[in-house]
Amino acid sequence: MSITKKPLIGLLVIFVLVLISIPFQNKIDEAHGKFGSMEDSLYISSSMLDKISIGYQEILADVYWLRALQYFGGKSIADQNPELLYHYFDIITDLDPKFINAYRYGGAFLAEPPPYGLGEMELGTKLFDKGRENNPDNFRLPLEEAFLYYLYPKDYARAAELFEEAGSKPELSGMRKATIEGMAAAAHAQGGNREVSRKIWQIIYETNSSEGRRNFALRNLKEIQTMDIEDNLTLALKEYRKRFNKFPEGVQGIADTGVIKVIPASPLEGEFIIAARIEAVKDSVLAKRNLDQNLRFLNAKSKRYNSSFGKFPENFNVLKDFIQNQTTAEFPNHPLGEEYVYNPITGKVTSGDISE
Amino acid sequence: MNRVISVAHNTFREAIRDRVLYSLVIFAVLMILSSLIIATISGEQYNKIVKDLGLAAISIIGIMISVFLGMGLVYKEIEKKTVYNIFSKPIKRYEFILGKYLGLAFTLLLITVGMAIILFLLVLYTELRYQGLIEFYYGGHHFAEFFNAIYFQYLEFLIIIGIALIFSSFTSPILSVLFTFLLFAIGRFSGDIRLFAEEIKNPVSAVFAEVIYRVIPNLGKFNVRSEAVYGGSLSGELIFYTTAYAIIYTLALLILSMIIFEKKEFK
Repeated sequence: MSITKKPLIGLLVIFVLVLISIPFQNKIDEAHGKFGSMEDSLYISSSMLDKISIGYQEILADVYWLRALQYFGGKSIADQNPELLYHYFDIITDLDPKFINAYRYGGAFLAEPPPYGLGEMELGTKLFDKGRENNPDNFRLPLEEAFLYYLYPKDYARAAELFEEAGSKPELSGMRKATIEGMAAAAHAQGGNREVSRKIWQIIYETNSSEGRRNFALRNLKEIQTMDIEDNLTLALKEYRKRFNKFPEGVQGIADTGVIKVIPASPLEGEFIIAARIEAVKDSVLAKRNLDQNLRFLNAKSKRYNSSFGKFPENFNVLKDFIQNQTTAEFPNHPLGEEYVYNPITGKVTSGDISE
Repeated sequence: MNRVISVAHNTFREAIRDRVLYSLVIFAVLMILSSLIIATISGEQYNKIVKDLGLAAISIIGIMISVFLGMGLVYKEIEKKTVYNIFSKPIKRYEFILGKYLGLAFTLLLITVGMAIILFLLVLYTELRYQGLIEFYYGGHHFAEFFNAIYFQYLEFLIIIGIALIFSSFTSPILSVLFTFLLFAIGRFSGDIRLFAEEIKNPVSAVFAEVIYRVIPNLGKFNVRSEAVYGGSLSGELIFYTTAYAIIYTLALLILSMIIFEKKEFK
């Protein structure tokens, strides 16, 4: 054979044969399907892998981690298989239960809605729950799971529970502990549990040495107190309406008729005003704070619409639909029940009432 | 004692001339260095990958050296008939076994320290480069746990050399390697045997499982590599007990080797 006598020609032939084999290899990969190679490795249970590793579980966990990153990083969201991804991270964390980042990345990617994740809240939180169980001293896992509950299903009660759990971990510094407890308080307030929120802010106020933190806690305490007064005055307003079948001239009008003895001073140093459209009494300072926050949010969404579609929404309803259907956020109603003013040319949302 | 040292010295010299040793050490160094490249695609888990891969490399290569060099410790001397020369001098059989063991143990000590220094420099480089990230993810550098993991690993090597020495004194190298690896694998699963002993209903089987658990080396106890990455309570008590366990078990292995070798007839 001349090929065996002339090694250079032989090597060239081998090179050509390898090149020819590449398209065949690609066809075989296609025939196995998009999860073929992955599924093969997943037929092995984590307990079996644990035995195979003969004590080198952390190395197998790293290999699975790298494979998961490469594989899932290379696929678009639409091509991802959430069950497979969960199973992958389940194996990684069985092999290395202390691998915090596997719970964090896997859980967040599963739970967050597209385009950031797969929108599988149940699977994502299941991974976080496993991580919390395996790492009871870690504060990041309950903290990040709390964010997921807060932002997506808007389960404020569960988010508050998790924030509280995170805030109770021993490794936290005083400053961070106070911040997380503040988050728990905010989640309680958002979920309507004002009493719990008030207690947490009270503790933060009384136990924190940082002036900034104390001021922030005080501001929140005042807001909660103001909300309580708003509720009482709203009840009085409804009683007034029932008795006289009309709105009073101002809040003082309610007191003048004896429905309520006295109008308390606003803890935020604002004044109480009647929002006739929603039949409620609101504090002007708190309403302005809420309105400013809503306007910032609406303008940011208008900009996002512009970057997605190359133009601003044609009218305010289009923007509202965009927020309700294509984002995870809730549409923020005007705190006084008024209409927002929208300019389709500049894409800017304003309010003709108290904010300007 | 001088005779033991002299055998140990010869064993050490022989070991460092062995090509197997060089190829394994080069492989270990490559494995340790490659962790740096792999770490770059690890999704910011730089120090975990470097430590995991590096410590596993030290462990795997150390075990291979213990097994492959251990298998020929005594067998080679018998096969080459150099054992007759040795025993024509005033040297006792137990001194020969002890010297052989110490020679290989010292060789492994040097190799482990060498690999540990390379790995530590790599870990230091990674941890200084990504300091903020590492503190954020892992809460600190855990250097004490890192060195403790290497120390425990060396204790495991000492036991494996002892096992290899026993098999080397009465069987062929292939069988010696096979038996040592088998005992090593069972030793790594000793926790499962304990679990089996606890859960089993039949009292005879339970006693049998318990005896097996007590007799085979509990090598799983030397694995604290995870703590080198995540940290953990590094207790003096644990270090003391683990060291004592390794010494006692190694002594038992050495005595068994000496008994077997004492009874051996050279034709």
